Amino acid sequence: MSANALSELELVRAALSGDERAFETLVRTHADAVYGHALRFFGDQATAEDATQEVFIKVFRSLASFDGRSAFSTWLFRVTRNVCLDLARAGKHRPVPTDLMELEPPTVRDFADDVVMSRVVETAIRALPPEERDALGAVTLFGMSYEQAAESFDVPVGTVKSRVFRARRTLARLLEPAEGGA
Amino acid sequence: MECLRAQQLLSEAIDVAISDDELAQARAHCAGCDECARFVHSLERIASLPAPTASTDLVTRLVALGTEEAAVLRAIPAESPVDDALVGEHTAAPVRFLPSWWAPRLSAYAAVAAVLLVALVATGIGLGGVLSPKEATVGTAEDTRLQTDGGAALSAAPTPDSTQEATKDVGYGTVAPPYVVIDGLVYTPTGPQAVDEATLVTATPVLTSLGATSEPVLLPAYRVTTANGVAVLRLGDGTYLGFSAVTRTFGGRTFVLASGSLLTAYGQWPILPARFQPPTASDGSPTFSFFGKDDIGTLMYVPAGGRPTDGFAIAPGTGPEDPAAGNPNWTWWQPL
Repeated sequence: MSANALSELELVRAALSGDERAFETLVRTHADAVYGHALRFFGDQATAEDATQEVFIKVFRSLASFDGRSAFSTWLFRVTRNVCLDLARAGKHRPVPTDLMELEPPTVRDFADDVVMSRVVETAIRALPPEERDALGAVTLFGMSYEQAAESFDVPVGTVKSRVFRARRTLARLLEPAEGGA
Repeated sequence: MECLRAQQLLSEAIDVAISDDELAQARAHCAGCDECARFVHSLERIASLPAPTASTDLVTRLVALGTEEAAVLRAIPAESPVDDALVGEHTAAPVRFLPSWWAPRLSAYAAVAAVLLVALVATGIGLGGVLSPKEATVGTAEDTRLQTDGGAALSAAPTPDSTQEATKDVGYGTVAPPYVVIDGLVYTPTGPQAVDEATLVTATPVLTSLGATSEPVLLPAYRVTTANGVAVLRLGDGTYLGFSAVTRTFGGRTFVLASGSLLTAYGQWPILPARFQPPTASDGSPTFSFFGKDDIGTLMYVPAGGRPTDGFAIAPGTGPEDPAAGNPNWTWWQPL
């Protein structure tokens, strides 16, 4: 077990003993990743916030089932993914559809603008095939290794590498700045 | 090096360390290849962008949820199997779903209900004699004409039509809404309900008239495992009448109204569970002390040393939108 996993286990132990600060640390460490996944899944900020709250309620209630054999982020990713899918299946929240064809290449000026590019990239990520989007999110949002992601998706490591690469290649091609743009 | 391989390596380099030699080869390839150079340019730009971040408001709410959960966990006795859960296999049962005080309390409710029912059946004494004056707000001569033969009463169970008729007669001003008590918790009817019997868990049978004036009968009760706070009663004709728990929320968490008395007819108000002495002062003393407000601003009170996450009391005189509106008694709300 890695030092990081040990500290996560200790943090979970502290939370289970009723330590408020441990809960707060878990929230502050992982809220962005959970929210990011939910936002990319649903495409709507309010829904993503609802889903994030659902995820943390579920996480808090089932902390005792985290045994430290895998990284906390791996466990959290699994919970996050399942909660989003369950919410969508139950019809409580529906992902907002996105079409890659609607995306226009950014202009050179847009390409240099963080705010604009972030919005465009997030839209493009939402339009990726779900398995590629999930693989990319597992690695980049949750900080999982390819091996951890492979375990989560129950696929070979090479498959995760391919999915992440395909996702990036698609994004890179979509977001190449248009020639001559202002 | 081929374009595809070079691009794969440069993508992988964002996530993991790759050998210096391979990285150098990939970069050298891209330096002389326009297509790969454009790919690298876009790739690096995308990787440099910030990921979505949770708003400060959301994080604050999540932290508050964590604080609530911590309070719940601190309230659980030390023998809770935290360490075992951490070192062993993944456990299926979350800690909070089965707090240690719940099982004995449930058993106690069932035991009390059973004793009361047996006493009623054996002696033929009506509930009017054991309820406090404030509960019998729809007191009529018929209220005391209780069915003393449980089996006969069950066979003569009322139908949903009679339930709806009775419901119309009951207002929310001076009389209570249509309530039944299932396993110590207060429910209100939602109408006839189709159920999948595989989802039902047997609860303590309920003695209710399903109306304000008709005779109480003993009806089989079930909790619906697929829906929190939902229960059904099986009527004499084999159909089911649905009920939903009377709830309020605090800190985003749901609490359900408990009752210290069997509400055998609609129009009766729940009272505090027997373990609480009714307060003698409007500030809740000596039983409770003021704690704060729930999600709709109703004042909450807790027992000495108690935590609101374990349950709280509500004083009489709440606003018209409050789920306890009209109740002249103190009420107790416990986690759903």
